[in-house]
Amino acid sequence: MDVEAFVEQQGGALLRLAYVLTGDRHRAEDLAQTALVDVYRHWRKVSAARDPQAYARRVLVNAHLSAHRRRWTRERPAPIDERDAGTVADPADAVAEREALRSRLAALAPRARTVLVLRYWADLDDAAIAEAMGIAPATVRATAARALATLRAAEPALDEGDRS
Amino acid sequence: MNDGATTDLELRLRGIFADDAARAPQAGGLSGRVRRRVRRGRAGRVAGVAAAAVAVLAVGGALLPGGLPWRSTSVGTVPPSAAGQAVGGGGEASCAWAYSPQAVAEHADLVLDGTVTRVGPRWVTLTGMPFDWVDVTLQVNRWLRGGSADSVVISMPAPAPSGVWVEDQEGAPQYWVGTRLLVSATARSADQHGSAAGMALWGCGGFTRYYSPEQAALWAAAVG
Repeated sequence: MDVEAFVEQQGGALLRLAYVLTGDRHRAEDLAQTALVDVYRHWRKVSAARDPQAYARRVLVNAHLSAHRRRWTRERPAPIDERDAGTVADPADAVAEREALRSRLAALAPRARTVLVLRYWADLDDAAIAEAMGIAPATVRATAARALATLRAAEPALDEGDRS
Repeated sequence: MNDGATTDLELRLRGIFADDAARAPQAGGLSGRVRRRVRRGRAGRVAGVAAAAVAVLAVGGALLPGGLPWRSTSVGTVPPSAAGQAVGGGGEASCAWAYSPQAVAEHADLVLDGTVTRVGPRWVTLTGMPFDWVDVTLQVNRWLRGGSADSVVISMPAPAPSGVWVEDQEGAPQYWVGTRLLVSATARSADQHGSAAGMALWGCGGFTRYYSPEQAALWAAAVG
């Protein structure tokens, strides 16, 4: 495969990943371009890599996290709305519940949210997530566990089984 | 992975991310924009960057992404001990690369020694929400790569508003009017963000540091 074919083939997937990470189409486009331009400029090295897609993903993820690093360098607990805690959501209010979860996701530290996106959207295992983020697999597991715990803490009545 | 008890939360996360992905912009034209950005070539970027800098100076903030004024209290003092350090604690790595003068030479489109003369306006999102980026005007002391104008506007993560230096650099980057920086940046295509600034600090060329004569010499030698 040449670089043109790689960019054509992988551009859409990288753009979707960038959008899920950022929620902003312009930042997503910027991230995808950043990753693909780098692929172009280093194609010889990229094509020789075991997994060129993983290389491009790593560039994208690191560019995303670098953009936040100066402002978001510590894991932060998500703010828990006291009004939500301990209440049982009306099953008919699934949309509101989903939006509440989305808000709590947005409040996670970028690194934590990135781990969840790579795990639950990109379906990467911990080793692949670690490679994409340049961290250890154990850090991936710890970050994911904390992030899930934070999300669960805000809705104890909904995820009763999570604490078992 | 947790036991089945977490399945409901995991399923809902998968659902949210899938919804987000379904709303992602189409990739049509992406490869073309990438090719143009690559093929523009260094010589083209040099001219483009210089022209963009002049354009921004000519029109003030009118064409900039945000238009929101940044607090004019963006004045502070960086201690001499910070010389040569990465700004904001970042810059030790950019994308997949650890910092080195050689990495700057390899990945940055724009490299300069400059002094901050203005901070603002701040970026806003398409919905008008403030964004943690700001356009920063620098008086160029020396171009090492990418331009020739006396001044340039770079999009950068917004600085700490207090203007008071703290040793712990894990918060917002600490630069203010008067701060002298060694800037490395990635050129941004003109069709992105509608910005005339034309370049960004972050991206795979962002290794910006506080100025020191030693680092400046290393950068100059590496960039050639």
